[in-house]
Amino acid sequence: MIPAMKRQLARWRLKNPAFAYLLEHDDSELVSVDCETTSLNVKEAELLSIGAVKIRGQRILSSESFYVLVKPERRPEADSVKIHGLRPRDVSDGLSPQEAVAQLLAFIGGRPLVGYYLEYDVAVLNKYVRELAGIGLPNRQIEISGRFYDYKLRQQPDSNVDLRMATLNEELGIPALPRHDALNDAITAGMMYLALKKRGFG
Amino acid sequence: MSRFDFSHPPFTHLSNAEQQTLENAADIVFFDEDEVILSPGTPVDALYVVIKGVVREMADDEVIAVYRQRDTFDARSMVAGHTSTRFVVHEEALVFALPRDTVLALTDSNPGFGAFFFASISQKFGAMARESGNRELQTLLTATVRDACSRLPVFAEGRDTILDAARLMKQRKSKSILVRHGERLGMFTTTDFRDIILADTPSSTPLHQVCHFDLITVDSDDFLFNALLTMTQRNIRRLVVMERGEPVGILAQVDILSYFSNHSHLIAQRLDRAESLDELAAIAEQITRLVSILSSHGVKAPQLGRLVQALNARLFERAWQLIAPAELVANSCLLVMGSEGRGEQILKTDQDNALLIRDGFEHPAIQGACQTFSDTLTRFGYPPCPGGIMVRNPQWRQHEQGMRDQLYRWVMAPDGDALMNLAIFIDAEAVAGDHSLLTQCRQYLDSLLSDDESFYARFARAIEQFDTPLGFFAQLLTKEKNGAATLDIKKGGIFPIVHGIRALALRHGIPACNTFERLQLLAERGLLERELANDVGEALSFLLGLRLSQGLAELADGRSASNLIRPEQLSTLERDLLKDALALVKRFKGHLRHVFRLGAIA
Repeated sequence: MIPAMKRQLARWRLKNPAFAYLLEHDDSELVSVDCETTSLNVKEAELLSIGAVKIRGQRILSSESFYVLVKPERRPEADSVKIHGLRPRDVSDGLSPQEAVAQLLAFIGGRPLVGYYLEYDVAVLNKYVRELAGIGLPNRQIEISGRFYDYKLRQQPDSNVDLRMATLNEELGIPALPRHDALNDAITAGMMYLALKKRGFG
Repeated sequence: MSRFDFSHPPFTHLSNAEQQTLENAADIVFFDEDEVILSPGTPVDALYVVIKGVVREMADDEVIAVYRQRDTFDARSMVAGHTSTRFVVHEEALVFALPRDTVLALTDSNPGFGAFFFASISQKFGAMARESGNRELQTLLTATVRDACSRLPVFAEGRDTILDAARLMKQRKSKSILVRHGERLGMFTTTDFRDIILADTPSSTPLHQVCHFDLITVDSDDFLFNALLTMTQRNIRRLVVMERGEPVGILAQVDILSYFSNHSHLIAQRLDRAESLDELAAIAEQITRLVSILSSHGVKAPQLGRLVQALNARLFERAWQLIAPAELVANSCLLVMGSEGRGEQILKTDQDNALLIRDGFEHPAIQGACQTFSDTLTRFGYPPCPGGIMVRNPQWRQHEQGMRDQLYRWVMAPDGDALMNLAIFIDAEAVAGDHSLLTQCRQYLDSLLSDDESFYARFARAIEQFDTPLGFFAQLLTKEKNGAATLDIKKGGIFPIVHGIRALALRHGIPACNTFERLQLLAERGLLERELANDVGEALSFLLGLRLSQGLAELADGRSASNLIRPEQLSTLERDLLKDALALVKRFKGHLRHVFRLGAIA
């Protein structure tokens, strides 16, 4: 009842009817998503790149993945370049954030989202999604670190759960991909999700 | 850098752009334990590469192969579009799924990559040979006579005089000239001048009276290795290179030697000149070193086997000549048997030899000489045969009549030992003394063999002696960490092939001893399907090569060479090929079972 009401509310708030497909929930697939940004502070952060990949059942559809570079309005902070490796010149031919997010929305549709610290990515994306559609991303969200926390706590109650990405990789037996970018991180999150799902925490 | 890691065979054959194509089409699939990825009856629409985890290939309840990180499965099924075996997840697995259409398109556009998929197994081995060829600068295997032969022949006419020849050779700085005399072709070399001076031959003598017409030739497309083999066997230093029936060059020993860092021919020469057993012992040591060098130059095991056989034969011959009194040498025939006889013994393993003595010949020194010979070989580094198949054992030191009686017993009352002895004797090769003694003995053996199919079935049955080696992989599966998982490639792979081919050769009266020659003859006479013969040959060649590199590594570590392979120490490609080779051994065993009706005998 409540979800139905929320959906109704969102439909009412939806500014642009072109984005109505976001509200048509589609659980047959999931989308793992990751963004690289200029800052870790949501307010200041601007998008640099977005990677996303669909997950159907046990399969990560890396063959149908989504990856765009985004040209930020301000230069990235030097510190953040060290993390994501995207220099200003790398993103100088990127899309505008609005265009990039519109393409992403078309890619994810009504599918639930998966991500490692997804909350942050969604918060940054929502800055643009609100602008476009009038609402934040209405999709169901699956937080990998949260699922992992539940899983570890079930195994060893009262323990301190280490939620660093490298720890998750190791504990779940996920191989490190040869490079870090938004798409490969999205793929890695997808592999983590499948490993957690197998353990009953999907 | 690419998104995924495809930096392993067969993907190393792909260009960057092609890898990108593959990457764009790749999906990642997660499989839980005991899930079935491929099975008979469902179409195979992808090639899988293990990212993490373990997948086992099952035929009924038997594990045929195991795939781990970076392993690819299953090329053959993907090409065929279906599979006859099941691929089951053993330990939860993440795999790349590469769509069949994309992979097939790449095999079309990239022949090196394609070779992996359109496996006739032979092509696959060939692809590996090329790969190792990339690593080594120049392999003798691929070098042909044309590559090494740079000397254009200098021609003279048969009616020209010795003096003309001397001028010509000085002018052209040539140590040899070819002599045309009518239809015949001869050779005249600087060495001949020695004899001319000694015989006081006048310098006006026409060349055709002093040159040699019995030329030994080699085709310019022949492998350099074969040329070297010919020189070693015939004890000559030059070959005439022919192209379409015309002499086009002279291949000198030094030309070939420049391809070798060690000189097998020199070893052979030193063997012949050795005047004491101590000298021989020093040379025997060099043979192992030569093998190691040639092997690292990419010379394949079968060719090495033949070379080592030629060298060992001369070593044994020379040792026997030094030990035994001349009349004993003349009235007996020294045999090498088993793998030494077949020319497949590459590193020094057990001595397998025998002495056949002419009927009626007696000599007080026979027993002592044989004892000394066996001891000497032990000293040279050939360990005594645990089964006692050596000349110092009276059973293997017989007069012709005694050997004939023995053969008669073995054929007429074929129990286990008799069949084993027979198998060993069938591979006998004469190395010293009167070779006709062996020929006559073989003829007698052939006359004993009838069309009694049950005899051949009993003879062939030894291939069932050792179970399928792929079972060892199954052990590897269950416990990885406890000790080292090993696989005996002699029992599991080499023996069934060698013995199976031996049985077929015996059945059909094939005269050769070497397994590759037997295979060739069996295929030529239509007694074995050509494709199967090729595959069996390639598989044996690969297994022998694997055993050789294993043995060399063990010798380098100061251990003795064994037949035990540790699959986890092999490269992915080697493991892949080992699986293919063992699968082929299974297929061949099945073929033999059918041919000899092994199911029908108790």
